[in-house]
Amino acid sequence: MTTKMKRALSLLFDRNTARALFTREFRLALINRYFHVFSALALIGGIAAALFSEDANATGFFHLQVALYFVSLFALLAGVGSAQAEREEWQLLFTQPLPRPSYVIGKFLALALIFAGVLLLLFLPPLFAGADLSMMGLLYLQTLLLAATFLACGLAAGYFAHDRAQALIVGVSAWLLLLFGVDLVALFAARWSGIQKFPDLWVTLLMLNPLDSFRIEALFALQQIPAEAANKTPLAGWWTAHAGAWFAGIAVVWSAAMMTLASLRMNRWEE
Amino acid sequence: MILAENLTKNYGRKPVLRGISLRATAGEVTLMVGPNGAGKSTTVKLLAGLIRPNAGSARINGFDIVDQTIAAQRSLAYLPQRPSFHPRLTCLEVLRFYARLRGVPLTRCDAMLELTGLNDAARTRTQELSGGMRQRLGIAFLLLADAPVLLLDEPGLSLDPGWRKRLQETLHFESRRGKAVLVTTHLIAEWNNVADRCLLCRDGVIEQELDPSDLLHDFPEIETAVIDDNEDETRIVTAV
Amino acid sequence: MAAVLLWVVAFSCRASVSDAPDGVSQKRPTNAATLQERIDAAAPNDTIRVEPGVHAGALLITKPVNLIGEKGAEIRGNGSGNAITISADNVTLTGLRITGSGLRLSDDDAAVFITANRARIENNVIADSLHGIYLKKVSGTQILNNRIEGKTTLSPSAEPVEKGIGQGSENCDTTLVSNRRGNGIHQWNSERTTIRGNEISETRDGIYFSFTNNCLVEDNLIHHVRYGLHYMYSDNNVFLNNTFTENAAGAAIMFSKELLVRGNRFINNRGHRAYGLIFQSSDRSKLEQNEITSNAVGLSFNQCNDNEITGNRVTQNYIGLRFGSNSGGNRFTQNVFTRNLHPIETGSSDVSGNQWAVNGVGNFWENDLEVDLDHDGINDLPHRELDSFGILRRDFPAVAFLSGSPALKLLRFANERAVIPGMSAIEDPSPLTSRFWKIQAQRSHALLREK
Repeated sequence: MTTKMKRALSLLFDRNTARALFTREFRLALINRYFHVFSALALIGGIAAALFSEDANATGFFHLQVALYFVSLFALLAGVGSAQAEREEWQLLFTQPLPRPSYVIGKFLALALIFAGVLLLLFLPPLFAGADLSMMGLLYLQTLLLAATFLACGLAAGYFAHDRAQALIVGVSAWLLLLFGVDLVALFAARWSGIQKFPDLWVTLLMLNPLDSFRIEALFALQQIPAEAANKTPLAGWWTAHAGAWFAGIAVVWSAAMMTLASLRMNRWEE
Repeated sequence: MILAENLTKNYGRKPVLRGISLRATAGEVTLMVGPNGAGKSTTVKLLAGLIRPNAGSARINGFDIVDQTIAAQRSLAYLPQRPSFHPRLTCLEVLRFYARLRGVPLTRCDAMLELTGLNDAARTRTQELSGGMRQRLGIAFLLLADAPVLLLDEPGLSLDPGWRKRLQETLHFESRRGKAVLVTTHLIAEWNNVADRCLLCRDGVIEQELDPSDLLHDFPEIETAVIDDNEDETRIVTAV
Repeated sequence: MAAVLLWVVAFSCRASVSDAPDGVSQKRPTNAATLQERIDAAAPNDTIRVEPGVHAGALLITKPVNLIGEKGAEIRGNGSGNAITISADNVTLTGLRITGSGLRLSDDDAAVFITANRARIENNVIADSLHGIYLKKVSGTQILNNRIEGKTTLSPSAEPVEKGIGQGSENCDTTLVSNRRGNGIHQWNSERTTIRGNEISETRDGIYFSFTNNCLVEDNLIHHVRYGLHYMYSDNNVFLNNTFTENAAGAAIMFSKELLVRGNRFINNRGHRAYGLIFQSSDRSKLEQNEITSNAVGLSFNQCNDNEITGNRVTQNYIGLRFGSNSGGNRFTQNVFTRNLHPIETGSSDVSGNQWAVNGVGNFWENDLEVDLDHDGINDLPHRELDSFGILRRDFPAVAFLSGSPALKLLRFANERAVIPGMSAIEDPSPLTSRFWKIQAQRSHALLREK
């Protein structure tokens, strides 16, 4: 970590700075119609899961689907939107005595905290209908990590792109690639005998994708185990045995990498 | 005070600043005049820490703007030509954000709104402000932190004459309170009364330092020059 | 005096008769005699009340008697051979706790070992034994409302579920080490058994059928065993409303024909390679209205022909329906396939010889685009269910890490619109819409009103 990054982080945790950034993001979230829609859909989803799910497992499975498709996309869009909405203000923001990485990371943390709150709307209602607390708690934390990862991706796309349209195209393309592209490539690559000789290499491709890591971890939590795959290679065995820790790790690494990229980008930004 | 030495800046291969050196001391309003593309705005952005020089150095209140960016930025306030704020936030929320960021008491936000005549617009979103009101909010933002160095890039273009006059008076007052004020402008005729010094910038260098009080005396046509008209600007500068 | 004596005798006889169930005669126990001695001394069809306390086994019942246990009555075997051996017809055991059989699988040690017809084993608790109830070449046995608990101090079978399929024999697999559990109810070469209302747990297999025909198995609960039902070479049996849950495999039905399996629940059988219901080499049977939920593999078909699979709910399984090789002529209709990670697995098998709709009525598949212009509850578009992994499951098992991937859903969606070459799939020509059952109910209602 460079001296500048260390300084940026120490400034980030300065009370005034943190308060300024968090207050601003909370205020913006409160008046952001995307967050309104997300919150409403999350609440409706949570209540629907509580009312209509046949059993606890069905609730968990529903939340897994919601997290994969809905939370990840919304987090990404929220990141893109948040970064781009302030684009015109950067010339004021970046003359403030605040390192740009602090601003970027502070924004990310504030948005992640907001997501932590909004996701409660999705996860709390099923608890009132008797869903298993530990299962839902675990899924909540995993979903929050997934949201944070895609929030970071969205912010990075937002900071790298020249305008909102470009940011959306880049962000959504990345999301589609991670959601569908990697697995499609993996499925068709698996037919190739050259790849079949190196299953661990193939497994590594999936492990590095946060959506795949999330899916495998959540499936294990819900006991929808792909048992056939569990112990076929040492790496596959390790992954299935440590799916939760791996997902947490890969989510943190992705978030950190995206935030580092975004920070470097903003450090180099000149009007 | 502001001290720049031999600043150069290229955009791609195109040189914009070719070695600008300037000094703006506390207690003075320093004007920077010159035609479009002369490098006035680039110089101010560079001094504000928005961009970095390819060579040369600049100090704000003694802090190097490259190596001690945060300390230097703590000492300055910068008002761009067209200040832009988050469109969804109100005037008060914008000022409070910057006040928190700089550790300024929140009560000062109200004082700034009053100073700029934006009391009634305190809860208006900035996207709903007119160009002039946005400029006034920019002035409130500029003065909020009570920074010892004020940098203004073509200020007051959207302001009506009354508010432009008040801005000049305010800056004059602030300079007399010990602040260093650097203003880039086309409106020489309006600002020469305020300025203590005047720097002529052309082709990325400070070509000459002029005495503001002599400008109109020597070149009375300046007073009638059309603002933002390239030909006239060039003519004035050429005349100078 | 004689009159008084006659009156006393008459009174005591009446009292005895009034205490006995169904008017059968009853012998009161004397403290001096052992239970075996009392059985030996009893007349045919006598009822013997077994007092609370532990009564030493092993018992050998060679005449038709009724043993009725009072609360707290236990018959404890000597840890060798069977706790109770029934070798006479028409014996009844009721209300007893039966424990302490031997533990030798090679000798088929059991808590209750039956080699005679028409035994009735009812309301007993069987524990701490190898096999629970063992039927050997008998007919007409009734096993009702018993609780059979395996000996948990013995290791459960470590055998993979699929291993041992087809090893039907009189004795249990003697290649297993003796330190293994026995079966809850073990039948060999028997017929017309009724097994109803029993709860079986912690045994090796719940109910074991081999060469046993014309039986009724109804309303039993079998959990925490290896196979809930381990069944082979047995025909014309009926399974109704049983629950097989939390086992390594719910039921394995093999090498048999003409069964009726209706209304059973195969749920939460989730061990490694666990199944809800394995159907192998079994023909001309009916699987109706069963619930097959939350299993590793819900329903597995291998070399099965001409079966009717109707109205089953196959949900939340890792693989809903697995097709092995050489299965044809099976007819699937009105089944519900929802929330399975992989609804169908065909591998490399040719499944074209099976029917996915009967009389124009197919099955319900999740997330179908519903186009039903004539409002008959049957989709106007056929449904193609894709087996995304196909032969890769065998060639490259790690591919299972793609389970539940949105990419597979995308492929499934695409395959619905245009067949993706090189990928195996089944086609249901008349898939059901979600309104099918409602429309059926309305029609039935209307018919009833007309009548």
